[in-house]
Amino acid sequence: MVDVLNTLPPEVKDFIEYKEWSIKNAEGIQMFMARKGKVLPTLCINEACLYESIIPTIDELYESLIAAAKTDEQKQILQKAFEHYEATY
Amino acid sequence: MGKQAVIDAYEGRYTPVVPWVPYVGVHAAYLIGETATKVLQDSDLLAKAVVNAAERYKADGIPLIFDLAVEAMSMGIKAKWFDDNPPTVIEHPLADKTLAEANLKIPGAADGRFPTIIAAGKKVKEQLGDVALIGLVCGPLTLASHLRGAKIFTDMVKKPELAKEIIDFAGKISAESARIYAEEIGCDIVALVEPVGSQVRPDTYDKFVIPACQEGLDVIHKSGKTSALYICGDATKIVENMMYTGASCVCVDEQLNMNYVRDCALKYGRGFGGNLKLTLALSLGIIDPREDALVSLAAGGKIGYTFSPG
Repeated sequence: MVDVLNTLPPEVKDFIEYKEWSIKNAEGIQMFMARKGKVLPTLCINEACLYESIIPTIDELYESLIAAAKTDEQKQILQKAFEHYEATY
Repeated sequence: MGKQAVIDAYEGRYTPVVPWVPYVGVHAAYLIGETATKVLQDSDLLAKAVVNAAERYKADGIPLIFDLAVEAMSMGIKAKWFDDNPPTVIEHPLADKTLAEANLKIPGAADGRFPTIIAAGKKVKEQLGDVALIGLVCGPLTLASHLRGAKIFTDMVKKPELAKEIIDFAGKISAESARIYAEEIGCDIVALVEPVGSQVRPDTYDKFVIPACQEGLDVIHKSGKTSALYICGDATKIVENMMYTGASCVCVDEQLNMNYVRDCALKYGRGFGGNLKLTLALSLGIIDPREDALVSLAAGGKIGYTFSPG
């Protein structure tokens, strides 16, 4: 599931911080419980469990990232990247 | 008990005692004091590890190898080796190329890692005794994700023809791999393994995955062997779909409710397997493995059920 993030362009990855936790260690279990995770794997954005055992399409991922962007600048970068992706996919 | 009990259960039949199939994977290497990297590339060590694990865990059935990079690596696709895990595919040749441009070939028994696996399988067959040998094949969707990368999940929505072309091609690779396990090695059971199958929607599974599995399942059935589907993750939403794929048995992850899986399997006359909690009980010990085993055995019953890790 985390591999879908590798499909994002560098300018988007620049302001996204992503981390994969393993359920096989204490840190991962604590994170799973803190996020109120239900199933594995789950993709969270800004602490919300958005994709629970579903790999999002790149379109869905962009929509979720744009909705979660914290600044207008981030939204603009994401929108531009999404439009480029739409035009070239 | 033993081989026939596993076959009977996988075929959905009653067994007087529930058979036990531990998916030891590269833990088999650890048990003989070797690394996964070494064991997976040495037929003598692989055979020794599997036979040792089957004896140690008093198995009724055991997989020869649980490594979903075999097919891709045998096509020349790059993977990274680990000493404590199976290798991981790190190259996606169809990420930016068409099938024709990439010129990929379906690997046969003489290609890549297959000669080592075939040699190991024949040695295991000689030594294993009354234990079912299970061949595990990388399923079409998982193999398609190796070939195309994560884009395959978007392709299924935005470019369905391209997705179908790649997944169908992967299905042909799975079918040849299934033939190798069934005919060249003589495995009693061959399963298509789809770890990412649980991460697509039911209609997507029906449209792309079920058709791509048919050639592999036909190969297994025509060789007189028993077929199965193995899935990882929370596959609750597609468990019923898996029951009408055509495979004799469906084996599931620890996250599934075994009562629901049992009811689906009984409805369709399939075998089913699972789901001792691999992470919560066996790995972390958060749940008592003995109590967890009793819960699974109580839910599974004796019709078509095989006790396995999930």
